[in-house]
Amino acid sequence: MSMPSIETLLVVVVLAPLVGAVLNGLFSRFLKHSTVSLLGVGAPVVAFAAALLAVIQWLPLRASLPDASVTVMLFKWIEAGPIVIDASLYLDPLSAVMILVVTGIGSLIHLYSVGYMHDDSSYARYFSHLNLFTFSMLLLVLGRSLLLLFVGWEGVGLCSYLLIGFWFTDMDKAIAGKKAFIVNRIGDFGFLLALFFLLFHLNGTLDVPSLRQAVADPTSVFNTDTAMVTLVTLLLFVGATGKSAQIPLYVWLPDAMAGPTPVSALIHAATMVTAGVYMIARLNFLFVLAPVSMAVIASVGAVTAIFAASIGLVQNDIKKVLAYSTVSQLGYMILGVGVGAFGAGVFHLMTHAFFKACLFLGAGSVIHAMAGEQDIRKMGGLAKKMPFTRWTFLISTMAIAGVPFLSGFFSKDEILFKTLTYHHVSGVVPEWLSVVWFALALGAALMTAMYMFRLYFLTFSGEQRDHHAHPHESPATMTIPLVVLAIGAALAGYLGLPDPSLNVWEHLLAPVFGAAEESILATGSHALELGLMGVSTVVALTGIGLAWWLYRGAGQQVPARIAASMSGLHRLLSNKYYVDEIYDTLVIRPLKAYAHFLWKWIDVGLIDGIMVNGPARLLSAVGGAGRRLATGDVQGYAAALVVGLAVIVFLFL
Amino acid sequence: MSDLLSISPLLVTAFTGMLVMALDLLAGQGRKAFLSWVTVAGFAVAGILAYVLWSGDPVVLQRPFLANVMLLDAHGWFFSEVVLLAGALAALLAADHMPEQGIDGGETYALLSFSVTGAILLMVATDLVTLFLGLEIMSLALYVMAAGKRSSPFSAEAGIKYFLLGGVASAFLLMGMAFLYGATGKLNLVDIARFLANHPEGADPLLVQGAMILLVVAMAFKVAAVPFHFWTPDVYEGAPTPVTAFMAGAVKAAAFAVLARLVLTLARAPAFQGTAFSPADLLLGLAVVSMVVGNLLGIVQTNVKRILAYSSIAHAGYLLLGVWATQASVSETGVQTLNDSVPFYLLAYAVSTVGAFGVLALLGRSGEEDMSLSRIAGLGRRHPVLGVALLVAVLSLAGLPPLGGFMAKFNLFRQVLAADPAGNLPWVILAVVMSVVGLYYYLRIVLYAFFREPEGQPVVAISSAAGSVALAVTVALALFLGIAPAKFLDASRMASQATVLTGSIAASRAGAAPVQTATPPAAAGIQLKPGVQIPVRTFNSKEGRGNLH
Repeated sequence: MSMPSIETLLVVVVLAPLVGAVLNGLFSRFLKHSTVSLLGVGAPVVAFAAALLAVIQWLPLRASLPDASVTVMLFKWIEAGPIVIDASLYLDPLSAVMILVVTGIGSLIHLYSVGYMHDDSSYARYFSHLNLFTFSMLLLVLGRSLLLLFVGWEGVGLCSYLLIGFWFTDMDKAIAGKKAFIVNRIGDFGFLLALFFLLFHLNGTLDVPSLRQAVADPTSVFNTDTAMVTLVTLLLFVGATGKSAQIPLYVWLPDAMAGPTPVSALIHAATMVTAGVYMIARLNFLFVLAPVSMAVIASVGAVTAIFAASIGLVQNDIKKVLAYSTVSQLGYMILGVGVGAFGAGVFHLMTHAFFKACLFLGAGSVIHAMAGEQDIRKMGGLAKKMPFTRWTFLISTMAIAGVPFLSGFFSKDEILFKTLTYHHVSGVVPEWLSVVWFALALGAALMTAMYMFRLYFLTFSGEQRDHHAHPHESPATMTIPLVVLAIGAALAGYLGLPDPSLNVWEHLLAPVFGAAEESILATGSHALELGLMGVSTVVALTGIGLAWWLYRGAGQQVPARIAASMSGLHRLLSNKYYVDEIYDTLVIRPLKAYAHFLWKWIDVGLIDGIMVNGPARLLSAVGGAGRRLATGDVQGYAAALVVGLAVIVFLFL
Repeated sequence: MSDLLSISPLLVTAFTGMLVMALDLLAGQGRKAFLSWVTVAGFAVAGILAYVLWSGDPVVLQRPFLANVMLLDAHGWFFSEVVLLAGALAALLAADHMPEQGIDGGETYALLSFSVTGAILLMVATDLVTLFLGLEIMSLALYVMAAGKRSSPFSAEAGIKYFLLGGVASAFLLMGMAFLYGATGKLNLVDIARFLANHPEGADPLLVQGAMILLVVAMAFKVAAVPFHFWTPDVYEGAPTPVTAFMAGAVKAAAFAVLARLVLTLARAPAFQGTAFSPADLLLGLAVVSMVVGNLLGIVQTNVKRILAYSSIAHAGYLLLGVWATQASVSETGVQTLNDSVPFYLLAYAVSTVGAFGVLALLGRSGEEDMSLSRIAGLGRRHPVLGVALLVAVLSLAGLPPLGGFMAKFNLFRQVLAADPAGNLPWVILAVVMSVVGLYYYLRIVLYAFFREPEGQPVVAISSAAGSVALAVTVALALFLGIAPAKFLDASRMASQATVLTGSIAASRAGAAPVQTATPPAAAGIQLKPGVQIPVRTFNSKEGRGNLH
């Protein structure tokens, strides 16, 4: 049997989850529980197999392909005068990595969901939404045109909303879904504006390869109108702050933990939230033309990283800790792409997908075992009862903390290195700024190691502190994904070893980022990179040691004492810097008041009351009066004819 | 022989009427529905003949007695097609409606054929007597049709009212014609126009102006313009619904065709220049009050047929505005032509209004004739196909895209604006505002049909294959006219350019003295006779009044 072509396979990759979503969404009442599982899990698995086959065929070919890319033209989508937009898929090194991550990790999480959601009454709806999400995400990463990317972007936003509010009968969860959707809309608005500017003020195309070609021409408007490019890239970044949960729009992500835990793992850790990073990486050639935007991006990323990590230190809900950790790690990625280390940013995206998905699924396994309990203060001693969950969780925790030779170590390290050296090549960024970024990132790394091990120790070590639940290891459908992900978390880093000759990752992605990275990363010694590895190892181990001392060792009274002596700071962190409250006061309430004013006074009063109903009442009154003239009396009508004639004669003659 | 061929569409419709009468005698009781198909076939043949014979250059009739009284050109062609279409649709709607309502006779179809014959004669007439003949043939048949449901006092009332008031209007028309004849001694419109042009001092201006008023008033009655509209709601309501559909669709088109031809041909006469009276102002005045009154009174109606009657009055208003604002572009003769989109508007209106009345015609079993809004409640759910047909028709009447009514209104208003962008703006704004007011009652029909639950016994549809065909045609045409109107707009332009009778066309009449048709400098004036230059006055421009330029 000959192998299907890359083009066919790519179409299968995108359509398989859609078919699954449609079947489970529309015909669930005719399907048995097992059929729903088969369809729901089968769809991403088929997509993964197709993606794998496509990439395997593409790998040896890529040297001979333009930009190492394959395009599948599906159909002509929009044709309006000079604007022509195709619906076509685009496989290049970046999207190849992304589809493998999305379908691979997605398949594992779907499989895990079979066990996790087993007893849910809306089982088919769950899989339908999850498949629809996978479809949208694949559209996002495979779309050749930015508009198609935007369709996927909106699609994942919708699915995120649907799945956060999956248990919508619980008001809090429904509100969390709404919050995620609305906050994302703010970002999407920026994105959409950027598309309009691109289309109407720059060169009028949304096709990514064409854009890259246009940018490559030194006389093009992109290279002359830096102000416009800066505006566009900043607006795109607004979109990224929404989707990738950066300051100031990160507030939805912690609340998004209201959704089922596998959803948190897939959407709010491994895939959707990285869409902003992906988009910036995809448009790297555009962003490097706007150093000011890059500096803004890097600053936001660095601040978000340490800001979210500090909140994570004091959270007690197992999923909330992971949520802030995700925000913090996304800050890392954004920092990475902000200093032009696109390959490193996407590399961290990939390794993070493994270990964070594993952590979330592990958390889900714990919650499952604890009969829904999420407070880590009530856990403890789970290590013996849940060996698979414990070991996989530990590996992933070490990976995210930056323990040497696990995946997070390599990817985080590369971002740190490139942050420190960025000032050499950027004409805009002074040395002190890149040092500040570096310091913030290092601080975030320290905190990450601390709060992750605090989480680990409180959950798995010692004795069980609350005896209501009877923990037990989860079924195989849940533990198998954990094991696979943990292996990935441990080993994925070896794709990007710091030695140039061994760095498969950089070599693979060179066609996408090569030009942009060369223009930025001209310097930086190998020795410095290895030196920094030492520094970050020390930082990671310090964080772990502190966590040990505070939560396992002699210092167990210390956290309470610190909380008491610095109660202000503790309260500030526990309340997440009061950001929700500040937004409520500064944005939401004024908006609500304004909306209330528009509604009560402008709409009901002025528009409905005076402008709409006023004329309507007037006209009805006039009509009612006129109706009395139509008496039905034929003599009267004839008289009216004559009177009419008489009036005309009188008026006109 | 060739003359007979040239006027064959008229002969075919007349013959259809006679054939139907004969077949009616042969057909048994309760088996008259096939007569509807016979009528449709006759109209179809007439329509094809009219297309083949009349749609090109004006036909040259050989015999003076024919050539003097009628002109077979694109004007006659386009409007004949509209009338034939509306007539055929009405015949189809009648096929099952009439028996259900206890009207068994086949005479409806014969009368319909005669009425159509009269309408066509009316539209091709260039002679006052022929014109009057056509009008009366059309109207007399209609009076009888309106009273066709003999068991119903409403129907009888409608017939009598229409007849009495129509008689008054005919009297006005005749009086106007008498004035014209008295002033000029001529009956042919072109002769009259020429006489008025060449002998400005020969004709008493008072007679000519009085004639114009009487003619306009008589035609305003026929098109149901305010304040000569009083008959409309009562007659529309009382007459059998297919007859109402024909009245609204066909009679309005025929009456407008004649109104436009009469007024625009004569309005260039010097008798109106330098005086206070302007036919244009008269038309504008009628247009404004029709739009306002039609739409305002439509709001307070509760019977669907009456709502559609007021809608018909309002549409007469928009159309009068179109006739008033003559085309700014000028034909080679230098004469202002009828607004391009008026014929198209009449076509779109005919399709939509026949569609709306058609749905009503297919509602109500055995003699039910109450068509109040509450009775059609829930129609969309119980009879979705009829509901959709009603929806399309009503929204087209309201002028919403993508339907024919929208294209018609849009083009009409656009052309009115183009004629004089600054001066006509207030009237276009008024027309648009009034269209919005009209939306209220159109949407009320939709509201009841789709979003209200019926109270009491809901109205039940009759099953009618012929009626379904008719409705399918109206829906398809309403959509087609809205989406791909280009061909129809072209035809409409041809028709409108032929509407105003000019000297050059008169020259082609056999036996008439050759008239100089040398092209004058663009827009300089009309030449009716060698050496005599008649200044052209912009028909609807206020500045133009009293100025010879």
